[in-house]
Amino acid sequence: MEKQPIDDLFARKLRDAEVPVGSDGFSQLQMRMKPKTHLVRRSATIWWQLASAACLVVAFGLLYRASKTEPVISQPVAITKKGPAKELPLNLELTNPLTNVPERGLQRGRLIDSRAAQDEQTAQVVTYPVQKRATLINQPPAKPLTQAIEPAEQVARAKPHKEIQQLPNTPTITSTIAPIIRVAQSTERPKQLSERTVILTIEESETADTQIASVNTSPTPDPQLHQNSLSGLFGKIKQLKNGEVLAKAAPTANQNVPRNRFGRIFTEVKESLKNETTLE
Amino acid sequence: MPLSIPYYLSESQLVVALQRGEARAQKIVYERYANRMMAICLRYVANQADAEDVLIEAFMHAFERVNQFRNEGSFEGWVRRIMITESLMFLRKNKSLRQEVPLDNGMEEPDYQWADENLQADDLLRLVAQLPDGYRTIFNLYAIEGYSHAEIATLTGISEGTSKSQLSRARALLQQKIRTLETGVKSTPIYGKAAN
Repeated sequence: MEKQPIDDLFARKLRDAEVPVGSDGFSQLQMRMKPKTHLVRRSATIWWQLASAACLVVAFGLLYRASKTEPVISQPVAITKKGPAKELPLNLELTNPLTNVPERGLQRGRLIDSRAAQDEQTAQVVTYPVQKRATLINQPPAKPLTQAIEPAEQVARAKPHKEIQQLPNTPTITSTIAPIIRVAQSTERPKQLSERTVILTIEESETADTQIASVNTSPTPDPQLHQNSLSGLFGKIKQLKNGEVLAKAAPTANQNVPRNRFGRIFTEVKESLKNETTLE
Repeated sequence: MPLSIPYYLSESQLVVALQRGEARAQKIVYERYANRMMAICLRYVANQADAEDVLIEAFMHAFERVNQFRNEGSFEGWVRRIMITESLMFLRKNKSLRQEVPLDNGMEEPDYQWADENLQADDLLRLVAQLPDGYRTIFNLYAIEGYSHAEIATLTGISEGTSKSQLSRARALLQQKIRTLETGVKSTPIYGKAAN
């Protein structure tokens, strides 16, 4: 069909005609569009939130799994008193810190495990945590050793000895921990007593030795004691220090001797200082 | 229409901004084309309230599908096609495309020159709005938009024959109305000043 004049008339007049719209037309348009665009944005944010939540869950799961693994605790290592003699560098000597007298069998420049040489039959196995041993050995000296006056030297020079000299009635508690090794390099004039370094070692007394010997031969603890001991983890830690616990539990002859370890150390140091003054 | 300083220098920049979803670009497009698109919607829907609804729906779809615009032709022509599509969808929902009106046979054709000189766009819009929905749609698509009967058949879902018959009926009705206006105006005496 061909176009007619009426088609042209209406096309010319109405093709580009304009009719004014209300002023709130665009606001109505925005209101209708907002929920959809908001949904689009919301869906994007939801995905991000889900992803972050998933990452958190995975992270917590990994942490939980890591925490479930057993912690690395220093396993107790059995230290036998019997052991081969260890050769150490020169200028090392082992002295009884309480008496400041070199132990039996000591030669300058050579360390001999005195406990091992003392009694082979009563070889005792005492367990101590490795870390504990390591800390004791690796303790640095408080003062430069060149300035330290070793009472052991002084005593050694004054009194040449052939055997271990132990002061009587000294409640000593010897431990099976390797004695502290000191590097004695000084040849200077000995200083006064107050300037001397005191090296602490723990030596068990004879009574304690027998107790330990008796206990260690029968490693199973007294069930009555265990009933009174603390339960759970703390109880297990206590069990590791059998000697201490049992010694603590067992009645001591001398009631004045303190039960705890540091109390014993304190009394021994006190006694050693007294003895030093008497020696001088 | 409020005067707005153009934010974008060219139509292509405006389209890019629309594709990014910038609200400012949407407002500029609405202010630039709303009046013209309203006339298009009013030609098809013939109701002010319905035309405004169709207008907003069409703009919404245009902004949502702006990524489909491929710079083939003008952006205004693309928006115009969206307006027509939305108007037709509105009419289909109402199922008003098959209305028919009896015609007076033997009607003389109007004076188109007189009509061109004396009838404005609002008058012609009013005449088009008086047509039945089917006649109006076909007339708008064929006479004003320039679609062929085949295209009209595809758009409206009717046959080409129906499209042709409805177009001729629409023309006849419009001629009758213009003739009525013409005769009415011409028959109205023009009173001059009384001579003293």
